[in-house]
Amino acid sequence: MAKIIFLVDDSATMLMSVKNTLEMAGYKVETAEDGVKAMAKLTAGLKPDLIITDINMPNMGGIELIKKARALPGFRFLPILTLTTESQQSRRDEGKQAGATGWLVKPVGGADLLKVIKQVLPGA
Amino acid sequence: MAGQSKNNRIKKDANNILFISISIILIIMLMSVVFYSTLDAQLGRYQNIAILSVVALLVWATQSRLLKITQKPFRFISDEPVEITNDKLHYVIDRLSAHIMQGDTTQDFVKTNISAIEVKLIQSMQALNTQINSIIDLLKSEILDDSHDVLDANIMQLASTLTQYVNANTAIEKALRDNLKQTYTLLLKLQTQLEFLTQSSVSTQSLDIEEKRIHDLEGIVETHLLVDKAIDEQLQVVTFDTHQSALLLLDLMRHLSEDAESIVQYIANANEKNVSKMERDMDNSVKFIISIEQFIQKIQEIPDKLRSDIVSIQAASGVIDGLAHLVDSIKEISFQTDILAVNAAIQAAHAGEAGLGFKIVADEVRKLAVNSNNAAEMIEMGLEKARHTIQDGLKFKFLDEIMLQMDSASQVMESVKQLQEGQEDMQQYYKTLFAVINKNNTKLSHDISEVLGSIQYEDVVRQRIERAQQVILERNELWRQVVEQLSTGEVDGLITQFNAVLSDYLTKESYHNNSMESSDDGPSLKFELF
Repeated sequence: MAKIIFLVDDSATMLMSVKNTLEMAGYKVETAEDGVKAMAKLTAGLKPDLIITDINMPNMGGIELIKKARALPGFRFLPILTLTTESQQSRRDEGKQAGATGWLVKPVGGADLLKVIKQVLPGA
Repeated sequence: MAGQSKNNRIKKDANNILFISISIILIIMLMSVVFYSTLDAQLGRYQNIAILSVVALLVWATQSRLLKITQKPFRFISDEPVEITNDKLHYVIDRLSAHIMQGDTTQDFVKTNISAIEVKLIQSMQALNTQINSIIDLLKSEILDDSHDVLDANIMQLASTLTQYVNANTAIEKALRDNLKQTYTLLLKLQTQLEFLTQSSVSTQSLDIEEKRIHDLEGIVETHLLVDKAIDEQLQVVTFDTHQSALLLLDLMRHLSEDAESIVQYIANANEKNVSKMERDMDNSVKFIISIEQFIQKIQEIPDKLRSDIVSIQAASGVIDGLAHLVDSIKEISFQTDILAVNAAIQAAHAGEAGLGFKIVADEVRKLAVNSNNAAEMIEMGLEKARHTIQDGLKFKFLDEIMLQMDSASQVMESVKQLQEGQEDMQQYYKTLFAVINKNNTKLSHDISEVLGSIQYEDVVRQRIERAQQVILERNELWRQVVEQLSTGEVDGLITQFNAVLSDYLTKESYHNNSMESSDDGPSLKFELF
């Protein structure tokens, strides 16, 4: 049974490129363009094995999405990675406090991304 | 234009001064000749020294005046009223504002181009997918010639998309740079005008206020130039990253096409080499299969043959058994005849001489019985022999058949063995082929995955341009306020706002320090698990 990765990013190219990388590695990928749409999918019953989210997005950013997702039942220990252009420590700390599992700075090569995913997804 | 008229004016002034000073020197020299006797009487031997001193003084005055004119910057006419200088300032600022409005058009252009890049990249990704699928299809099919064309077409399409991507980025960078350059030129003019204004000798009551406004404007202009410089620096990063990512993409694409090409080449070569062998194997296989079929047919015929043979044997045995019964009957008749002959001999003995003739007949009958019994035994022996002969004959016939079948079987076994060898060869061939394909496929997947990683730079670059757009918008808004407030009120508060815009922009940029240039920061900065 393929693991499901939920990808949230407002950039169409990012969604498409990361989706392709993950699908080629055998994962099933669900996508959303911002935090609001992502929350709608999660509350509608989507149960991913991992969430990868951008930080700067319209309507609802990544930090708020992580906080809201963590409050949902069954999402307390779900791995959530951020994939963003932001690299400063204060933002990383913000992400960590919100409940992020790890912080990735764009751009991330396919091999590196899969390596990090394997670290946070046991048995993947 | 302004510089040229300024030069003309300086030249004209210098000519006038030169003309006047030469005229004065000539007059002095003429007067010294005319009034020689008077001067001689008055000054005596100091006459020459006095004349030379006056001329030298005059030359010094002319030189210093000329020097002053050439070094003195262009001034607004000293008696120009404040309203006129204000109007001039307004004119320059209006032009600047108009130019900034034009900047909005540039930004629209940038936005359109960013979307164009996104579309192009998505198309490029789709082309990549198509290529991968076509490679997989060509591996499945054996129409390699057509697949070659499909692959070539895909690679060409990708190369063309990448070129468009690079061109779109260059166009954006050029548009923004042109815009910055024009603003910069206008601002420099404004700065020069402001300097002139501060140096002009406007002798009105509003001089202090005017000077303060001019000073404030200078501050704004300086901050504006700093903002432009900061944007320009980021644009340089954008240019660098775009070129680097394009180069990286092209390099990866080259690898990709090489890998794909090597797969196709390998399959093509492998097929060429193996096709004749495979054809031979196939022909042999067909022969083997035919011989196996024939053998199977023979095997199928055996039970029928056996059955008919058994029936014949049974029939022959039946006949022999029937004959054996007859032999038994003969034996019984012979036995009874013998008893009858013995009884007849006894009765003949009782009859005495009268029975002598009868005794002779009885003896003869007895001999006949013995002979009949002997004949029956001989027949029995003959029948037994015949039975054995039939059985032995059949036995040998079966053996021959079996030997024949055994020969066929060994031939068939040989065929099957060869068939198996052929099949194993083919299996080995396909195993090697798929191992090579699999290896190349893994490489292809890795290359494609890295291409996808490299495409992420588009997002980084887009965000950098968006931040530059944002700061340009905020700066333009402040300029609009400058133009509005210039005639009505103070503009000094706007300097703080300008500085805030600059500082905010620089802070944001420092938060997004992920250019290709800064990739030496180590993996800890790029990935961090909490």
